[in-house]
Amino acid sequence: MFNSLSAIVPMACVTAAAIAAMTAEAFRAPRERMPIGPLGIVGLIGAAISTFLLWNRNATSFDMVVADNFGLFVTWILILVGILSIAFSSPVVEREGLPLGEYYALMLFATAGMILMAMASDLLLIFLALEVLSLAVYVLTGIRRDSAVATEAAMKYFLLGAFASAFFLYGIAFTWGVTGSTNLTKIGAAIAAQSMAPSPMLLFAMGMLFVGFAFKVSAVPFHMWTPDAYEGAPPPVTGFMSTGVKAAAFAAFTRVFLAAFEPLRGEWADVVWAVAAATMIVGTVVGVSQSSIKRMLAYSSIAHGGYLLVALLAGNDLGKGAILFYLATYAITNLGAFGLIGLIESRERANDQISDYAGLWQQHPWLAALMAMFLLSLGGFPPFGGFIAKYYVFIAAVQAGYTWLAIIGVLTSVVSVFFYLRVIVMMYMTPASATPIRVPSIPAIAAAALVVTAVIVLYLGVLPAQVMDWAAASIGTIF
Amino acid sequence: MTLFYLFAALAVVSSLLVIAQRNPIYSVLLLIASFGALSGLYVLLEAPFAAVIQIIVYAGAIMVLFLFVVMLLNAPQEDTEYDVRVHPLMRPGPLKFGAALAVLLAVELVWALSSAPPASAFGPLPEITVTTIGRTLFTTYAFPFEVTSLLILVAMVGAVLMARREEHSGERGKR
Amino acid sequence: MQGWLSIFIMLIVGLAFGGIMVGLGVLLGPSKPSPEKSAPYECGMPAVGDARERQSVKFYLVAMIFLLFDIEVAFLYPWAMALRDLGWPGFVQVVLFMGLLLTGYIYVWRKGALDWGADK
Repeated sequence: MFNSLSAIVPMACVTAAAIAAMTAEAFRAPRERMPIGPLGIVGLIGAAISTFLLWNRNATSFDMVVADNFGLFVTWILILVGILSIAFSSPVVEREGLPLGEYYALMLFATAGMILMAMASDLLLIFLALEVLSLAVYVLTGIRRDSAVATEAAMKYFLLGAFASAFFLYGIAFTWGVTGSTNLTKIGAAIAAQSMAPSPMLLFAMGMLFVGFAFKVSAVPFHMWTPDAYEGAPPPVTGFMSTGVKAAAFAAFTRVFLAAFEPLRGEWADVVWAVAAATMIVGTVVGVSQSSIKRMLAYSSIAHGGYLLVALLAGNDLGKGAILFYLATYAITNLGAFGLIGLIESRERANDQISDYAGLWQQHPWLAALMAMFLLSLGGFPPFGGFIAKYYVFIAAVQAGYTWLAIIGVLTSVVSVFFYLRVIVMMYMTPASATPIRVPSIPAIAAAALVVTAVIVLYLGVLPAQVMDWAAASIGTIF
Repeated sequence: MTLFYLFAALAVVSSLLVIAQRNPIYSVLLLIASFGALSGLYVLLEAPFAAVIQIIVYAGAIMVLFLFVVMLLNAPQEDTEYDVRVHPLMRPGPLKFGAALAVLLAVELVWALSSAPPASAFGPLPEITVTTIGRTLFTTYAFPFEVTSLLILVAMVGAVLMARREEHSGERGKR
Repeated sequence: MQGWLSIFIMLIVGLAFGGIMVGLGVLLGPSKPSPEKSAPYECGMPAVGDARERQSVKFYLVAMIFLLFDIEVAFLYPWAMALRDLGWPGFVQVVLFMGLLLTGYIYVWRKGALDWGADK
């Protein structure tokens, strides 16, 4: 039974850090400063090292956690997301007076849940991991308890999320009923062994699971909570949840649908097609009319979920690699953008309207330049990672015969450039308002995180081959 | 079969009374009766573990939670926008929505009862006792079991964080 | 079904006992109400105000924590039933589970969530 525990080591490292953070908070005197954030980073680095050691080993623990290269690749993304989020959080936690220990403990618990979700090969475990990360993120969303917006956001997110979890659980129950197992491999085998016509029960189960995942990746029409939640949460948390939750959910989504439900591709392909198209279109079109930069980026992240769905649907070798590459690029870029928003926010002013960014270039040329870079990458401009990521996705879609979907994707990308450019125009060409943004000194750790994200975004754009090779190799291990 | 009708009647009647009460405290207490009857139904379905959990967790802990929430939200009566003599369910908004749901449920019920039951779409199930659940839980599902403790930990931190009184927080600035 | 018979009998006896006691009280006891007797407290302070006022959020927090530990107890039940089959591995698992929750308990305790002192 305890034949091998190695596959759970990355997750255990992060969990240990989370529990340590929680215990430290318990013994912290009020107002005492403790290096809880750095503690979390140490745990995440431990996880990164163990992930590195597990590479290419295909370790399995309890028949439920598989540390295949696919899971490990996503785990790397998640660890990076965790480290950068903690780095971006430190000035915000200080400024807003957020509860120090709980904040980092919840972030680490959520990361542990995400890592588990990326590696789980059992529906039951996927569900538990999903709940661990969701609960932590609900609380993080509403952690600014004195803010009505944050409380409303957390409430909406929680209620709708609980609903989605119920759908997911229902799907698991039916899948178990039909196939007699919650193990993804066994489910796949059971489905493949059945006759050509799938039972209505099975289709129902698959639909329920799809709804659960679609909610977590905020695909249209299950995206309603996204703008509110992203707006109400503190910006580093928004960055964390818009990237980490999405990456983890997509990892599990890919595993369940491309591994277990692959024999039923004919049944789900059309639905995913429609949802992907709707997600890209709604995310982009509604994003154009936003005046708050957080809401704009929320819709942008919805649209990015659509592109990821395209890659999932393409499902050929290129598409599978493209999912991972896209996830990595999107996660780093979006995290950088929200981290920057967090730095620009101040206690007195939210500074979250696009008009607040007028003339940022004169006040803070470096911040403006970095913001422009992140936005251009999100929009898919050539020298940055976002361009390569979109390029791979659309090529994969065309190769798989989804030309129309690729066309919709390209068109929405073009439209989306409009709202990314609007911010850049605001920063560089509009004169500053009477009270321009003044960012107090940026702590070294946040500045370092910004530089790291910028370097990665550039690296992924200029020299994508190495990471793409890893992505393609790692996805090859499971499907 | 007699037992089934006994428990079913108990469940239906107490559930109806739950929504017919004006005082929410009575509703909560009646809901406990309803849960007890459900637990009896679980026993008849040979799901003893579900029956016990129904009592321990639902009738025990969750009802306490409900009761406290009712006490917590005990809003004074005067700020209601409707005539207080009209029962809450009879007010225009809830009535329409509830009626729509009721019709839907009735249609579903008639449809389900009229169509022949599928010849066990799920195949025969082995007898599941608490012992077999324990055996499976602590061997096959040992790891998910441990992960559950993480879930409970997160919930604990969240509950303390969300329901804590401001005075205790100490480091919150005035904003 | 045999095992449930005793529980059923206990339920019946419990209900009957309560019912009979209350019934006997109504049947046999003299009933001569007077304003003093009908007051909530026959001696002591007269009750003032409405009983239905908002309670402290502490109740909710305690209920929440109770619920969480109740779920823990729910897991102990199948473990206890399968104790002999599971042996030491099962014991280790439960200890690990309880250990993790113990850190949660320490956290809750230290944070003062169980503190029922005067409002600070």
